Amino acid sequence: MVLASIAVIGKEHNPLYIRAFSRSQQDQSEESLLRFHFIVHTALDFVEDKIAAQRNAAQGSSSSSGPKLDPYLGLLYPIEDLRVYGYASTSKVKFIAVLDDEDVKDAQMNAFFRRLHGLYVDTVCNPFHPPNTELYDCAKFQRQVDRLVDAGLY
Amino acid sequence: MAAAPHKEVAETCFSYLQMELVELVIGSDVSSVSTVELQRASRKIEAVGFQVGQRLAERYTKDTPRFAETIDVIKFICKDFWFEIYRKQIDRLQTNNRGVFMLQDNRNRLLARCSPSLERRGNAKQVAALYARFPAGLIRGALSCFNVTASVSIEVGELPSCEFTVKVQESK
Repeated sequence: MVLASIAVIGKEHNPLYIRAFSRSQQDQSEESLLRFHFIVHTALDFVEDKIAAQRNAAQGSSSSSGPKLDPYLGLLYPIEDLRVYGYASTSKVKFIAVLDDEDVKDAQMNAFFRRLHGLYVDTVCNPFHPPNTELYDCAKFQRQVDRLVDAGLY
Repeated sequence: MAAAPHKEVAETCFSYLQMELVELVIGSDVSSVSTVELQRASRKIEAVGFQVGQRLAERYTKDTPRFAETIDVIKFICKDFWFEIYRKQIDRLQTNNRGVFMLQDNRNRLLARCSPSLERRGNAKQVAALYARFPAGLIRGALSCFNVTASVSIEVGELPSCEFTVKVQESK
């Protein structure tokens, strides 16, 4: 799969991290980043919808075991030639990935998001990082994300 | 994906660290502090707990499914969160179903070692409350991690039991 962009969105829907990946250097312009900002912003509505749908489904099926809500939200929506996937953590942090690949397995996506979530958790537990602030200054997080995306560790 | 190794820390280290935290903010002579100082100290300790709780909650909920209601968050704190930190669960949880939760811990690990001398029984509860400020901060921090704003007050009963009253402020 080919990642076009990933984003981490905070509890109050504040963007913590948005990054675009592209193979050609000229594509790294402000404009393409803006485009991803827009895509991610739109994705948040779908995230809300998915979470509400999950909650309704959980309430409908069984009340005894309690609702089991999967953090992985699956495909949110396709836009032009891109596909947008989502993942919402227990602590209401949202992870969005934009892919320009046709066929990707849910299990693969889930594993990717889990890793990304792990990186985020590690960063939050860093005492030098104030919680709920942007992640651009975290050298380690940046590096790990690069590794995750470049080497395709998912 | 291989699960990250679960890191553990010796309980004694943790206990000593918490004791030293109280010592640090209040100074070694507990008997002669004024109420104002006591309040300031408790605020500081709670702030430390808040920071720690916020981060720990993020880590401990990494693999748990999302919570639907506030009560689920409270239950998580009573069971898993408390167990991770104190190796025991909250003993009793009461609620009035209107945003107030009473978490009773009959044998708090921190207070279990407290044994005030006879002449200092008077302010023993006050000082014990100071120690309990840290877990109170933990609770508040963990709640804030799930976007629940709350205030936590402490009541120290017969040592080593204490009770946390969580008042949730309804958002939206």
